[in-house]
Amino acid sequence: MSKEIIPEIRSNYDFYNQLLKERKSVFESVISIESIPVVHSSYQGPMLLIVNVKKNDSNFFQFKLKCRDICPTPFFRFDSDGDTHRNFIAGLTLPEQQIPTPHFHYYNQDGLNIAYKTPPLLEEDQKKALQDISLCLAHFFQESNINTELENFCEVKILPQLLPLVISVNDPHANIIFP
Amino acid sequence: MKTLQDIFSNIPFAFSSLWKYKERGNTLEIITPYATTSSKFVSVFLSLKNGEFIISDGGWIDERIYDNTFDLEDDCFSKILDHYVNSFDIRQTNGLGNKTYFYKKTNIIQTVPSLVLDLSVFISNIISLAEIEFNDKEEKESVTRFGKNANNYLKTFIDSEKLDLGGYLGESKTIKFNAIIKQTSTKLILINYITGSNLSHFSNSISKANFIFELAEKSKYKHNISSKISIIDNMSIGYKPDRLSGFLGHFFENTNSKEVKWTDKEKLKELVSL
Repeated sequence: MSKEIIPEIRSNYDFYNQLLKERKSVFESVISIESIPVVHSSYQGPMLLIVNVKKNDSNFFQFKLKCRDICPTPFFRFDSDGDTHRNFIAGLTLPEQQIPTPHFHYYNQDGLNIAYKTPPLLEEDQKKALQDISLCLAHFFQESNINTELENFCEVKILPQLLPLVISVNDPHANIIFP
Repeated sequence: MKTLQDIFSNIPFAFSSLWKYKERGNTLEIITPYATTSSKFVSVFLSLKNGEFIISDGGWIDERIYDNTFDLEDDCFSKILDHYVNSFDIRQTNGLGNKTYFYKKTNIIQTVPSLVLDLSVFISNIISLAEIEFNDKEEKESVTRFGKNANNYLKTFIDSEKLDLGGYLGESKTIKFNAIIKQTSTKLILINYITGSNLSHFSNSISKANFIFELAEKSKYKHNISSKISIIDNMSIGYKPDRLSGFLGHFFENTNSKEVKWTDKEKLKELVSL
């Protein structure tokens, strides 16, 4: 399980907590699919919010917070869809280890990547509402203590120049020929 | 105190609780208890098409959904993949954007669980093995860096519809080039990049390009090849012209490909003028 452990986080866990838990701000009201700067209340270095959306499925998105001063990979993440994570922690029962998407990822004090679900992600109606990328971004902001300094949360604009329509093809076998 | 038999009975119970599904249109994503060394549980995808049950990886391996690599250029990984594909009798097909799907199919409903087992073990092993770095890290980084630079340069003056980066010659995925330029639908320019982080890797890169050009000349697409170009990374540490002159001389004579040194890359614009 070596890949999922980030030693830089394990050895700088106070700094990690400071990055994640202290208040941060973004000043843009519309976010395209790109990286935008995040301003941390006490840490002065560069931090980025990255929004990724799958090309042919607008319900498949990720939000990531990245700060190169802690580690090269994102230090906090939300996955709306995709693979099921295994929390490989001694003492957890097998069913407790399995965390399907949607889920958040953070790192514990051993630098181990942990997936978890917030209460809204466990509740069917709220989970459905959070398929809306802008609403979900608001939830991500709450979870990672990001303030927009605006009355409303940010709106996410998907592929503004290329596709006016929101598309969602989440059936992986659609239009595939299996000879 | 619980007996060992009681403990045993809890094992299949715990395992069985891991089986879950998600509806995805007409396909079911089945989350399995099979795990990878990168802390993922494997999903397989089940659908019924024309009376046949299809069980696939959903294109997730090629799409790197498991945060995995999928480097078919890596000879070791490629051999391992072949071994598992052959052992489990896995089929492959291509979807949108040439994405590879690994799958099995049956028209016997009772054999579906057996196929789910095959696909699950296959995915679990491939994703886990993809974590191993088989190649020299420095070499891999050097090849990736040069590939990226050369790709970016070609993109600056060749229309994206005519440029196939990492494209295959023909429909069967056997002869791969760093770039293929489609002058017309039947006239192609084939490009190989030659680089290496040391002398040995550089000479291997020459041999590989030589072999690929030879294969292209023996293929049924021979008459579609309008020219062949080799871009030589003469800025790399492995480029030792005095030691490589014999190799390079033989290579250009044998393949009849045009040489473009990276420091003279402007020359490419003339050679590929469309």
